[in-house]
Amino acid sequence: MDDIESLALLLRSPQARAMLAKSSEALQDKYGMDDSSIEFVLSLDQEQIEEQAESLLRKRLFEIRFYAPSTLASLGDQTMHLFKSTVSEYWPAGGRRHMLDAKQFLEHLVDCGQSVDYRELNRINFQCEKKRFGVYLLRRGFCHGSGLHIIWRIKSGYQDCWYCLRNK
Amino acid sequence: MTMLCGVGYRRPMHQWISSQPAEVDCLELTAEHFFDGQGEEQLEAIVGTLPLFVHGLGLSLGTPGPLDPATLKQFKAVVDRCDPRWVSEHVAFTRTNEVDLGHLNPVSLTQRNIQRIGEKSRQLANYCGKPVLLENITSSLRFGGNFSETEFLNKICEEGECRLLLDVTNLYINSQNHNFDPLEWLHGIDPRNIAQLHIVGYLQRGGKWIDSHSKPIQQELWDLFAEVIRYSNVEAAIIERDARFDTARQEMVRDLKAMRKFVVDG
Repeated sequence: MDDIESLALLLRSPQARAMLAKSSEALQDKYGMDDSSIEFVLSLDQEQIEEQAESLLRKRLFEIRFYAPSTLASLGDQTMHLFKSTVSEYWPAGGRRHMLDAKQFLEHLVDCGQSVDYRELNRINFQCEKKRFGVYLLRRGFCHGSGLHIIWRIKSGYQDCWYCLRNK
Repeated sequence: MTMLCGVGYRRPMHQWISSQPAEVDCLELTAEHFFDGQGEEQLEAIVGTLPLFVHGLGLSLGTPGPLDPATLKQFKAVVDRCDPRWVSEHVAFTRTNEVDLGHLNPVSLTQRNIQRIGEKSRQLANYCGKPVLLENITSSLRFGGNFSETEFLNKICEEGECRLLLDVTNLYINSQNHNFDPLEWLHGIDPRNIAQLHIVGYLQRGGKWIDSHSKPIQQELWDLFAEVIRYSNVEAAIIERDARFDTARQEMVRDLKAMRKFVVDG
């Protein structure tokens, strides 16, 4: 395993970092690392690795804010804690990774019963599905009863509007 | 040659940038923001109006193995569209075969990485038909090894036939977080290697300095900037703002005017 691959393993996996802290032999066995790779990872400051890994998560969260500003604003101080619980081994790839990250995170928040701006989740799903036109129900949060969220593609991206169908 | 003063193009600032403000001499475009034909309308308004530079985030020159062909092709499409003076990337890796970490991470200071990054720099220059600059990054990690960081960067420039995009803010942040003298670091770099600068205000939180790209430029950054432009013949400097766009325009105009004073005052 190259130095870069060893470092990437530690940065992406809190389990690998925890294993290294307990036993480098266990890490070596689990991931098939050769002696020079283990020597390299043992030369690194473990606290610095944790900080670098944390900064990667912080940067991912920063990018997600562009897709879900209202949802993240409503989460406040618990945002990073909730994000960490979704991403321990999830690292989307490619040009749409920030959007996929946002989708994963918002869906996790829904599953946890956290407050989500469904318009933001609908917009993300619309872009992921590469639709030209979409109609989504708004059930909780924004409309007191229920509502319709309509999204359509335009040259520079998309536009949307929403209607509350019934107020309770 | 008088140093050009400019900004990193970001869509929330399109209206201001496309009005061709007098304070802006040049623009740096982030290649990935224009992949898959995105932003063609915006490019139409700005290509050909000012000197441009194209800056990559995801070519991952530090990754073992070849440059990703799909990313390289997309990058070149943006370069061909924009005809920049040069292209830039980072002394870093963002991914391996196993994982795309999505953001920049440091590489160890080894001969193997000098050769790896140098070879990819040459490959990128040949493929795009443009000179390549490589940027220093912030990192929580510091490596031991056969080379100091400045020796490592100088050797990459030699191996890669490239020059440096010196991020003044990243240098300052690393110097504060890792307790070293940024001027001593600067004087370890061959001044002929420094072609372009990045600068933007930092954030301080919990005793750490953070590259938030969200603040106006603080005085200690200007002091370091002044020393860099005294030390080397920098051709362009870009303010690299990524957040808080509501206040960005006024702050960037102030910062550009301050930057220009350094150039005029020498």
